[in-house]
Amino acid sequence: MQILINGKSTSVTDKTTILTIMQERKLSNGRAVVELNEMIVDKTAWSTTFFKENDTLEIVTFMGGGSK
Amino acid sequence: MIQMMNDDKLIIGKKILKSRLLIGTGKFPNNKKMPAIIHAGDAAVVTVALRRANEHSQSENILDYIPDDVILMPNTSGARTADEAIRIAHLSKAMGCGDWIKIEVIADNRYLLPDNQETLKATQLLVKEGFTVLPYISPDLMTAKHLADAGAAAIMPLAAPIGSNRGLRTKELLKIIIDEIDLPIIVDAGIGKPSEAAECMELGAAAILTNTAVATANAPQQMAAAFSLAVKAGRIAFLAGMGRTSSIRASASSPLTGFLRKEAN
Amino acid sequence: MSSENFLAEKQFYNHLDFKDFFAHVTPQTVQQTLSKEHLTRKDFLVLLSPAAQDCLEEMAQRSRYETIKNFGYTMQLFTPMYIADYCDNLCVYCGFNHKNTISRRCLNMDEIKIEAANIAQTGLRNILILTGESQKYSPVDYILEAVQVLHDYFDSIAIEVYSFSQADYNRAVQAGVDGMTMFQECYNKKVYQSLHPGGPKANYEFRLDAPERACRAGMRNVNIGALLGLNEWREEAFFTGIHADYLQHKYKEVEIAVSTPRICPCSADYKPLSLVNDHDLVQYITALRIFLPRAGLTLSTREKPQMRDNLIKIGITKISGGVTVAVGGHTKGDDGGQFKISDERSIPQMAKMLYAQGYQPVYKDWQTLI
Repeated sequence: MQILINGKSTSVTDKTTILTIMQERKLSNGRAVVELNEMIVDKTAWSTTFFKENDTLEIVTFMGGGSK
Repeated sequence: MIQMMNDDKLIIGKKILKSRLLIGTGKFPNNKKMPAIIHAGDAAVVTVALRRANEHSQSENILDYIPDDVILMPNTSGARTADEAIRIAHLSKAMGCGDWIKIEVIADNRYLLPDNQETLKATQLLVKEGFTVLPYISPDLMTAKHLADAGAAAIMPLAAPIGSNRGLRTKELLKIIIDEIDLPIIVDAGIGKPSEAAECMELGAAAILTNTAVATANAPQQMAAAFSLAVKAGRIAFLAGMGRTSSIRASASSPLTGFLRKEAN
Repeated sequence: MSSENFLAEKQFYNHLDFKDFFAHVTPQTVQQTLSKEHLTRKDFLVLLSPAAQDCLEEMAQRSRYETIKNFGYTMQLFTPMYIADYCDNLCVYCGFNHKNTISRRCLNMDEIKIEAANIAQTGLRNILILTGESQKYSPVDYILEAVQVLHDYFDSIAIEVYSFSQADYNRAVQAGVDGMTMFQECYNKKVYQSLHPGGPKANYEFRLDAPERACRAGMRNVNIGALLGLNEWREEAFFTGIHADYLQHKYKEVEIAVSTPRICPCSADYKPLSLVNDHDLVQYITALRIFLPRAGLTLSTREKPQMRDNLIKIGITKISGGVTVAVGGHTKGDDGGQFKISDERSIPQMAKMLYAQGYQPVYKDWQTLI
């Protein structure tokens, strides 16, 4: 199925979890936060959260930034 | 002098800040230099922004370069409305790095001036949720008052538009806010030189936030050190009580109190 | 941080030793203070010091500069209208003292109309109504009924009566009262209690808090003051200024004004504790103006014409005229009253004097749209 990750259409299977994606991106160490369809998903639920068609996933992290 | 500084604590939220300098981490050419710059500036607070993670994140994480003894303050940069700022604040909190949030709502891309109304809305809601909220505003007394009433932990008015390095352009308005609002006033944005930071502190500002001036200096580490000294100098000058500041020499026309002497005769 | 109320704010100065502070102030200190753009509370106290008496001319020049900068060449005129003098209080210095065996009056609404018409004829469009404190003769309902009647004659109505509860100030504002004057009389609690041995006014805290209740109710103008002479005047002057500063800071939407009345011989047999001479009064008025450039400063008819004509040039923004301090005095003329007045000039005479001095008289400052 197709889902949107950070605005980019991506194929995933029905076995894919948030954790799978975070591991692929080397972001599973907790320095990132994810939002699934605009709801924050707690890290403890990453391994049990599967996707459905057209889900929107945002993965955010801190970057340098003072003023814009 | 040292005693004077030791007794002079800045408390925001429930935390005692170790200095009166806040440093933003944007626009630096290289994150690896960050710890030395933060250290050289003796910064109490370091701001970070929240962004989408890179797709293949080989890139370093900013948090690795921020010393443990500073307070981390995420900002809501990128937000154009109160709702977006609130969403960014929620995501930042979920990162697990504390509950400080600098509200920055900018829908003007020409001058990068903040939207005070949306900032107030976001502040009202986030304070209720338990955040320590530091709103960034155009220096407007009534906005500052409403923010104080809403429970903001400090107010961050701008000295000049972000990144402009134009210095203390809003001095008259800042002074009014400093005098009238019973919260720490942190001057944010526009400060291009250490001397301007010192001037803000002489006016009675509680602290300074600088980013561009340090990040774009030829030697950021030295510039951070210079800002640190300037902020301290300005603070000491403020505590010492500024002397002669005006040249008000009323034109001594005819004596106004002559009638008192006539009365006595 | 703003204190919860002025009583709490005042506690900061519990250990302030005025004598010791003044002992360290020299004329040089005063000169330095006068060259600052914004004055702190400490600077204000410097200007109230005995040493500052040597700098009165400089203070007057700076005070005039600030006054003209903020208020221009205008002067508000007002007149008091006493509508009742029954009083349950025992203020030892006041002609309305409950124990005084004067004949008392309480105007009915028809009498108030006649009084109001007489005053309105002079051109005044604002009025200050006064009563003694009597729940029997001049309760809040009576005062607010008078306010309704007075709306036909005046655009702006202020009250100088006893301390109201919060609910009653709210009602007063609803009824269209836009100004209130409340003199604490004396900020020193011990002295206050000795001067106000009985009646509701004996409650120091309730009175001290009254201006703040009025601010909270949405009153547009709040005028405070200490009656100089009841206690060491420099201490009273300092706390009056601090009180005004506190209110101005906390209630930015309210116009705060200060009156500087000196006690003068009145119907009561009272000897002032502290004498306040003309130099002292000039020092007080100019110090207030320099410390609080935006505050209104009100001058009553307790002062002589020559004094008043000079004080308007150096700091005063509001001055009375056509004054009678007796109930119904605008109808039948003056006989006795609350205190002795020293300037008998009518409103038209005051206006003439102001024009001659280069000031425009203002008969009403503003008007609500409702």
